[in-house]
Amino acid sequence: MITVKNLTKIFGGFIALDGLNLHVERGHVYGLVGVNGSGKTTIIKHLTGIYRQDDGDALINGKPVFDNVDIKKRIGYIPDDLYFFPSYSIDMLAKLYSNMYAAWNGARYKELLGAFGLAGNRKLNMLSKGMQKQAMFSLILAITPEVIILDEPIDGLDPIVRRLVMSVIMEDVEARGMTALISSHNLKEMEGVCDSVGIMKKGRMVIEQGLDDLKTDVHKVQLAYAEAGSREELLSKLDGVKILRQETTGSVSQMIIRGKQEDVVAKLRQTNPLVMDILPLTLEEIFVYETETGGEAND
Amino acid sequence: MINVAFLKEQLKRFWLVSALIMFLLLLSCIMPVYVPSRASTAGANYIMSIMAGNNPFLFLISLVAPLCVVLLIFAYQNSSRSTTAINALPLNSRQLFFSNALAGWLLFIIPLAIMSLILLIPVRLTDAEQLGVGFHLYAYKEIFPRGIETGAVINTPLTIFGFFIRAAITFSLYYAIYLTAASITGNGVVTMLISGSLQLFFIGIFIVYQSICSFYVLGYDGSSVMGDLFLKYTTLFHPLGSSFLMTSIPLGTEFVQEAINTQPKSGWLPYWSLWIIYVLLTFAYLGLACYSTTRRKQEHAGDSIVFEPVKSAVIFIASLCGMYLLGIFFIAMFSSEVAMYAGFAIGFTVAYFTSWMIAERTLNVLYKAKDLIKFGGCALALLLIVIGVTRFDLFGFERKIPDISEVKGVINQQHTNYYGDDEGIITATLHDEQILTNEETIKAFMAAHKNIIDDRKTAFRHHIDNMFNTMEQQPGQTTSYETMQFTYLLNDGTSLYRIYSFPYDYYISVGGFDFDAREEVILAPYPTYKRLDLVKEVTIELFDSQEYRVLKSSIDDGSIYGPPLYMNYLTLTNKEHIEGFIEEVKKDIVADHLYSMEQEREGISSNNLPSAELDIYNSSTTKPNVADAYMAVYTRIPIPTKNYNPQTTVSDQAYLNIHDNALSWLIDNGYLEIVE
Repeated sequence: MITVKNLTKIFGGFIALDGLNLHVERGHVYGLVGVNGSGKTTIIKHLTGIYRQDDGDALINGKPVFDNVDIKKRIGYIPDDLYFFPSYSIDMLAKLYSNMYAAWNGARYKELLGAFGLAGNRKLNMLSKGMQKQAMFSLILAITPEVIILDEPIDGLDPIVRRLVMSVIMEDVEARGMTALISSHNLKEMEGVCDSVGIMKKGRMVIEQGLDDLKTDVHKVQLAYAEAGSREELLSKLDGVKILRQETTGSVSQMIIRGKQEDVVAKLRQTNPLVMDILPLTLEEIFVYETETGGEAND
Repeated sequence: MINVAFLKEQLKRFWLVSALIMFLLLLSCIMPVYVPSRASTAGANYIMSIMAGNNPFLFLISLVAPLCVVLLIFAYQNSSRSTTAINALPLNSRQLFFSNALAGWLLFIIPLAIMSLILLIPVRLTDAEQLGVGFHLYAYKEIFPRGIETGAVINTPLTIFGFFIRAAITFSLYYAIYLTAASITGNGVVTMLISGSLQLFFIGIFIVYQSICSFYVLGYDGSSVMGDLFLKYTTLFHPLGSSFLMTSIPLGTEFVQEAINTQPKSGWLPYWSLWIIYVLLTFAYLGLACYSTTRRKQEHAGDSIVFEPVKSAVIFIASLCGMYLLGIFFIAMFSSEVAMYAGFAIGFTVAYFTSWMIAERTLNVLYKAKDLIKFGGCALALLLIVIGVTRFDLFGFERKIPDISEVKGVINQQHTNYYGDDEGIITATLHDEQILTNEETIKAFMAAHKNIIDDRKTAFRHHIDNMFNTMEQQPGQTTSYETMQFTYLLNDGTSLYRIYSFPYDYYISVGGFDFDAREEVILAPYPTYKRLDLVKEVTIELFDSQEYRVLKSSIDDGSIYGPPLYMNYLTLTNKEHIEGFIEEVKKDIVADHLYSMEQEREGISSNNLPSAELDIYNSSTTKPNVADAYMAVYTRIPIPTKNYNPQTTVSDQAYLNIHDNALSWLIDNGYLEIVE
């Protein structure tokens, strides 16, 4: 559904995207994460037809997005920083969207507006940031997009609305097979909804994987040994296992290791630990460890 | 190309701008026509000025309204947030540009159309005399090619339709210029600056060109023909700006008239063809704006200029402007060439940093200092080329004197006289009669020119001295410099023109005096002599005459027998008499000129000298046609008075010498008698 191939974008000598690749299946929810300045918004602006790439392709349904009206009609986009025509009400913008998007669903718009408790005649620029976002969700979901692209969608929303927003998105994903690409720093929220995740750093995709696979591939292991061995000795015994991070305090080592759980466990057992615990990892931890290593361990 | 939904939305958003333009048009262009107050001009005159595009309010609105529209419609390009929102809409870049551009165009065209419809309410021509003053405007003649009589309706559907089309073209051309400016900028202030610069582009080139020529080029005094012609051609690109700046007459109608009348072949460029050029130019600007808008990268939203090479070019041009202005200012201040170059260096540097401050919107631009060497180097290279080409005549431009076999004729008058803008249309039809074709005259002409070129060093020194002297000259102070003009009309239809100003002694030494004293040269500005077949009558006005009495006149309109104002008129219509009389006037003119020249050579001011004048005028308001032209020759003959004022430097004898031939002829042929 969404394919990005070797996308490169340079801003006055600064490489914002460096041969980026990305792939999202139809009906999937894709979480795009990365540190500030990693190029998330830049890739989103390519996927919404705002930026023209310097090199590579940004495709939706196999077609380039830039200057493609047909494709742009199928995309719903909510940017992080919202802009509305001065003095426009929600209804006025709804009128514009209804004229510009063929798949506009007026009933859905009313339904969502009701769900968010918004009045259509409210001036957009008079609303709080959170309410503006809710209004945008009502409008964008009413255009019945095939692809929804959200840049920090839940930023500024209270927990109740956050859940509501996520539930309406998931509703459309399930009901219509809508594809969603969500960029967010709120990894806890993402963890609950994403099918797959892409982690970006310095304009490159560090890792892109299904969330479940990612979790089964990266492990946090706590080991204790009878004798305090040197780090080198321990590492030599772990040959073939990819360590993302390691901390050793006395005889206790804590490691973040990438690899199949069975392989990792088998390797670690060879080091004869007194204690070996495999601890669950959150997406946030994976993100931190992966971005710290810059994906160098991800080969 | 157009997204109707978005177009409608933009119209809905900005309808208030349209309403404001309508209100201004109503207030400034409609109300004075139909509700003329005591103080205002009569409605008929007012509507005429509007239809001819000669109304200052309309002029102002046509300049400002399109700019406001562009600034508002394309304001979204000035911020990343709004650019993102607009570009995320299901539109491609062409649709976005054309929908916006059309919406903006409609915002001022609709009020203009409504105004035109309102102007259809009939207004009759009631004040013919007052309107007649304005009839010299070429546009009026175009609106009413057959003339218009008092009482007739001025604003017929056809004339108003014509007005609407011309106004729409003018508004649209300026709109397209502003669109071009907006297409390369990402900041409202810079958009306005670039809009203004584009307006002045041709004028600016002309001024710089003229300055360079006047300072460095021998054979160019910086104030005349080349410049005039250049200005005329800028009219082709600029219906408002050139005329506004140079003549203060709005909408360029006067200017258009001059542009047409002063071309080598009068009427080669019909009035309507200028409007076609404006339309083509509008589309050219529109194409440029479309190209830039669709090629601009949205990530540059908010940048002063969104294309890096254009930004560099603009900063370079702005720096050159600063260099030029301060250089000129320093010349005026210190009258020194060294000061001028110091002004160039300081002006360039200051303008360079100021431009970067505007472009980067910060005062901290010292980091651009290293690029100053690069930019300054380019400016220096440009200056060296200019100096090489002009001062040292690298390509032999100045040295070029055509071979006599290439020369069809020569003219020692300014082009403006040659093409007869003072004398009106009929003189323009006679311009060929002003060409000097006698071989001996041509040789003398070329010899004088060659003398100047051969002693280029001295000539150039005089040229520079003259320039600084002119600058320092106080009002009322006379100059001892003599202007020499050389125009060669070549067989291939082209012309070569040079103009020099030299001290009087130098003018004499190179042969200028001898050439100017030739009879053919003296009579050249009076082309009517060569075309007496066109002359149907001669009106003679006797000034200050208490000594002569008019005995007869071919036409007696009751005014021939003066005083009260000591003026007498008489008219000749007999063909033979006309020819005989003019032969005598020619002798008087030659004597008059020679006398004046001698006086001047001896250092006596010739300001008070009388002159035998032979003017022609044309009473027709229709387009000229030589075959049908009604031509009348009008002669003023000052008569020496008994109340001779001894304070004057002119003696009775001088008067008598100068007009002796003409007066004698009139007396001999029984038109005058001497009052005893």
